[in-house]
Amino acid sequence: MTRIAVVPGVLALLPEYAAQQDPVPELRAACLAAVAWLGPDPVVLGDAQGKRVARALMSVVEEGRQARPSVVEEGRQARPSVVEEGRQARPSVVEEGRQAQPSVVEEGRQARPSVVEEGRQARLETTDGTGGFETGARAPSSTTNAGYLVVANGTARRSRSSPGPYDDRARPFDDVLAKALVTPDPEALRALDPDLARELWASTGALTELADLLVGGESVTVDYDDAPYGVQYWVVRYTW
Amino acid sequence: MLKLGRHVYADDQPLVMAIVNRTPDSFYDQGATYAEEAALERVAQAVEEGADIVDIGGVKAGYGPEVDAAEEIRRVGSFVGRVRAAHPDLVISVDTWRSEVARVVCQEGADLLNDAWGGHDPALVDVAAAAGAAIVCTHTGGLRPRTDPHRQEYDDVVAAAIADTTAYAGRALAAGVARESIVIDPAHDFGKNTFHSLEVTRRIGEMVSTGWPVLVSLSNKDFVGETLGRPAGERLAGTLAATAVCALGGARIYRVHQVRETRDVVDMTWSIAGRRRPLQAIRGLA
Repeated sequence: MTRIAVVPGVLALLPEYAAQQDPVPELRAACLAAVAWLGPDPVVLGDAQGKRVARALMSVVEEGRQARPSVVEEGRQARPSVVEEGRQARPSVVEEGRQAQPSVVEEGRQARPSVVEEGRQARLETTDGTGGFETGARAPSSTTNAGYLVVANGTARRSRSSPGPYDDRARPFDDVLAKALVTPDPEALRALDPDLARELWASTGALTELADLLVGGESVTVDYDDAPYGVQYWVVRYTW
Repeated sequence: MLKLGRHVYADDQPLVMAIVNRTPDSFYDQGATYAEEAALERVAQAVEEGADIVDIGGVKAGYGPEVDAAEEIRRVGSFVGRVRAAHPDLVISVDTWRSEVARVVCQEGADLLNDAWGGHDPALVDVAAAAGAAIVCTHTGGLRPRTDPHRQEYDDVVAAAIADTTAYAGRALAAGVARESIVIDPAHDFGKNTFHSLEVTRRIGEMVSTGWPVLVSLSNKDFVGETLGRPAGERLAGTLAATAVCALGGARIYRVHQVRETRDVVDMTWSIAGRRRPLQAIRGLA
């Protein structure tokens, strides 16, 4: 079984930047639940800052596993328990995310069966086991368990409250990116314009690698979809 | 850990103590809260502004008409009970040097005895121990209660303050007061000229290094007024500057008239010192 989680590289998730009041409690809960769902030692894909965020999340989850071994066992055997825990802690966000985009998920699944098949065939031909990715990511296999933690997020220039100056190209960019993630659509992820992403302060470098990992037919769950500080975040999980 | 009566605080929590005078002649407010209802309103306001402790006093620290123990008890005894009833989670301190007054206010619910006169009444520690109350051990240079300094000098004022307050703390400990319930206070202006108080402020870290939690009472005092040439009503900025210095040095409790301003200065300074996390932080981190 292969599991992939996408989380945003939000520096406020780092323990060194913790304030008394968590500015992103729902996002943090979604990220931690997703990382716990991945299981131990996932491959981390992202830029240097993103990897720091990923490792911090993994450390928190690992500490939780050590502190609560019964939960670890539950999580390892069936994995849904940890995710369920996260879901219970933030039902409104989960429901929000699910309600906001189910039609897109369904649409993508129904509309691209041939692409899914194409993707699978192409991967088998080009990767030949585990050595086919420049990133060092392991190729997924139906007979092995693999986990990937991908750190990426949308634009930071999408509203007047964004960190970056407002740019009216930001929301359309995020819309395209959202659809590519949720469908999922590897070709659309590969087609993202890196220069435009850079201009819009989006962190999408790892999404090409995500596209390489997606083989089609994945189950997609959107745990978080919001832009609380004018930066577009998603927490998305894929499994097959 | 700091334990003030029934209240326990972690080491990273600075505390603000609001002054509530039940006196007709205090130097700063001139009896504004002498009436019981006015004093109760002052308590409520201080709590709303972020005070952790109220320090209720029935006798002016400086010269003035004699106030005997019976009158002091009349002013603060039942009032402590009313405050306790109205604010069950508030730390109540009483500013008194008299053991007979302390005994009454502890029965009424006081958590802390603030002895501004350096253990003048040796039985005060016994009352604190018996009641499970905390105690503030101050340095006055040996002055009797309600006496101003006159040509008082020290070889080293900070060393003297440390020696006297830690000796007093030792007496409290020996009497049975819990170690985590003993606080020391260099007592700015008490037995000190302005140069002494400035030096104690500058070297407050040495008192903190003793390991005893340090209380500072700086608010609108004469050393601020003399340093800046300001009358009692115009000393807030100077008080807050001294507060920031003491906060940087690690003082734990700040006895003040202006709660909100002090709360901000102390919290800001503790955060600068790396002892307190910001309340919120998202700028540049989203």
